[in-house]
Amino acid sequence: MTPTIRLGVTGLSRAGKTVFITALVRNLLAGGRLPFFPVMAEGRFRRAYLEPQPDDAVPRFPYEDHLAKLAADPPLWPAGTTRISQLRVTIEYDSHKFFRSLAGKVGAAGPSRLNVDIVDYPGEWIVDLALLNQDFATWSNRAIVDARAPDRRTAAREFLGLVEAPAKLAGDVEQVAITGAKLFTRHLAAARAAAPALSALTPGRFLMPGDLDGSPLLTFFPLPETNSNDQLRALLTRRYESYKSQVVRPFFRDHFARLDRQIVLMDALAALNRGPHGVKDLADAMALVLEPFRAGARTFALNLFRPRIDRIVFAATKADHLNHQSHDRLEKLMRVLANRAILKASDAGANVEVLAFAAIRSTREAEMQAGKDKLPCIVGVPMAGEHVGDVTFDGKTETALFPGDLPSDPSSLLITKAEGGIAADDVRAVTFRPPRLILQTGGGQSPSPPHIRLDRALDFLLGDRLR
Amino acid sequence: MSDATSGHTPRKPRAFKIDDPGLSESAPPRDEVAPDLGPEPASRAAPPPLTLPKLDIDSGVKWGSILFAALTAASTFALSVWFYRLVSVAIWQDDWIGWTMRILVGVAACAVLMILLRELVGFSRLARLGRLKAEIAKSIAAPSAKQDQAIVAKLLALFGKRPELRWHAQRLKEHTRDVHDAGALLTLADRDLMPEIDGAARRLITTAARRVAMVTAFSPFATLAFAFVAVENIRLMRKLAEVYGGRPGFAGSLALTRKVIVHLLATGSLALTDDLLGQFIGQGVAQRLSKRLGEGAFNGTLTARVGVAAIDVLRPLPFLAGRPVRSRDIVAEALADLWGSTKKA
Repeated sequence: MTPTIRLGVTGLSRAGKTVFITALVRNLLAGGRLPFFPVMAEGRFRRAYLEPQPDDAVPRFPYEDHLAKLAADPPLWPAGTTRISQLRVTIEYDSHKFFRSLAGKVGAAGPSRLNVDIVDYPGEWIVDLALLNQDFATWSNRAIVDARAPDRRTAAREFLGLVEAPAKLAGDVEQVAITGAKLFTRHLAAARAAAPALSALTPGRFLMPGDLDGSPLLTFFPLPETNSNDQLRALLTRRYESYKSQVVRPFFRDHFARLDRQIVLMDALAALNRGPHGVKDLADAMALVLEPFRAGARTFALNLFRPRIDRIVFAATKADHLNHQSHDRLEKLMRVLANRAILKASDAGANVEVLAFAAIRSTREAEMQAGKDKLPCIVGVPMAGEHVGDVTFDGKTETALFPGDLPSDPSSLLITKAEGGIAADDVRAVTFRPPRLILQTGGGQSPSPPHIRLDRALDFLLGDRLR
Repeated sequence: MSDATSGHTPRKPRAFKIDDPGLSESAPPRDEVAPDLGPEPASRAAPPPLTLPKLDIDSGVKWGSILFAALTAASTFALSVWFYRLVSVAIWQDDWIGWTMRILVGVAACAVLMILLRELVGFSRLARLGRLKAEIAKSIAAPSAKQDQAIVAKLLALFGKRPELRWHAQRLKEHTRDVHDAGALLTLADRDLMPEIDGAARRLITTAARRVAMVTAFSPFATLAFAFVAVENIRLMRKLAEVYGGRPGFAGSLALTRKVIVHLLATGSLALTDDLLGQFIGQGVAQRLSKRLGEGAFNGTLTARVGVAAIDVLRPLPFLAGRPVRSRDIVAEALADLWGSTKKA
């Protein structure tokens, strides 16, 4: 029986889960440049291949479609994920454990194998994991407070207009629930449009319903505590609890409860673009999302009954949007952002690694002599509509960019400029076009896209099982 | 207190045009296509300015050396004066003797010049190796990705042109763009580039140790054996220097020999307890069988140890990821033959 590792890829929407999985599979399948992935560096790696889908109920991860997008002219980033999908990669390697390698040498055994199961899913859904520990009242209060926050006010005007006027909530509860859910969904969509990739907008299925579109499971909304319509409250509470038990819990049970290894992807730079507010939002969201996961040291007895995640990588994705000189500071920031989860995991005995990371590197490095200063820059083609200062990019011109200095003390990112922190435009990370992938060269080689520390992440996640 | 970075205020993000003259890319753009492994232009950089290598133990005024140097100079001078008279008498004769003399002197001068030049180049090669070694030691003490990249570029210039290393060098070159962690690149260089070179060095040492052991064991005269050991050791060091990219001339090899001996003395007592002794306890039986064979084993081991010490002196990188070359392994391999051949004989 081939041993299997379930690798959990955790991240909010637009954190780079799909790109990570695509790059990982491409690098394994095509034998990419992974100098710090020992099984490859030591020449023990034989090959990797995609196994036929093991689970008939879950669609396969559309790896080839994502590759085709990266290979298009001009190349595009894979589109956001709208449904759950799965993939199994099998790695064949020569073990250097004494008995395994001896058996291989005398021909008693073939190469060793390891299955890696990876699940991709819409990032919107993962924030629902936070609901598992909240009852309706708690969730409602939180959602209402969030909706009243100054930067969401415009997006939430319609919805707040409904819930803050008890008169509008009278009448047929079913109809009120449907209208309320519609307005609440609209509010969530507007909030996401304003700040994608950041906050924990629950419930996730409202934004990305998948196959639940129009289901009664999705017809509820947060009700302020002050509202005394008991009939309505009872209905909404019931719907909320069903949503938890029929949507969130199965999702967690089927895909996350039995993970062996986990990589947590966080787009810290997108948060930085929005200033202290964004950073705090992201930190809060991640703390909630990572709450239900079980991490800890692996022991034989525990392994039988309650599998645990014993290795976690916290990766600050899109590190290619900064010069490598800033990667240290990005890692420091990552430690602050994921502080609670890191502490929890390492207290329980799990191994934790924090990396500034890019699954696909879309920039090159350069230095700019500006006056007396040497600015560490990156060179690439910024996506159309991105801007730095008063320069807006057209998506075609190659540009050198200085993204600003990250502060050496990351906690200063959590406070506003007035309190001694930084302003929203002090650091500007811009999205770049991906490098064009060549599926196959004339010489029959399949090159892998460049990356930053993908091999280190892989070594940490899989290396000990590939000895 | 808006100062978040150490020292100066944070610099605002800015965009620059790609053709801005102030812009310099850290490494040339890489194509995603497979690298072309065809012949590369043989553009060897001009040799760096010539400086003689400094030895660590050279300090203080050495009156003995000065006396010796002065006496040598005086006798050489006397000899030169005599020779000069002889030549100048011959050279001004306007017959065949004069012409022959002129041509001979011309050829001799030319040869002396070439030898001098070669020695200087040899010294400069050794010095370049020493500088690289010092630079690497500095970079290991205080890791910096930028310095690592410069060092790897130098290593590639030193080794990359060799046909047997071209593939390894190509792989390393590709990685220099991807790897940004301080210290990681040197580990990679040690792992990708050096094993091939270490292997060559190991083979050289093994062969030399085996030859020395054989000749000592079977030579009829002790003096002959001694001379052979001395010559073989110097030759080994010179070859090793060549393998590690610092091919010295004659004087250069002498300087190198001195360094190696110093290194041996500095580390020798320690090493003696761990492996040399082990070798001899193990081989006590053979030694008792024949005194000659014992001498052969001793000289072979000595040569192996000299070779390994020479590697320590010459190898630009310390063993970061590669397996260190150890005299114990070499001795075992080299002397296995000796025992085998005596059993047959």
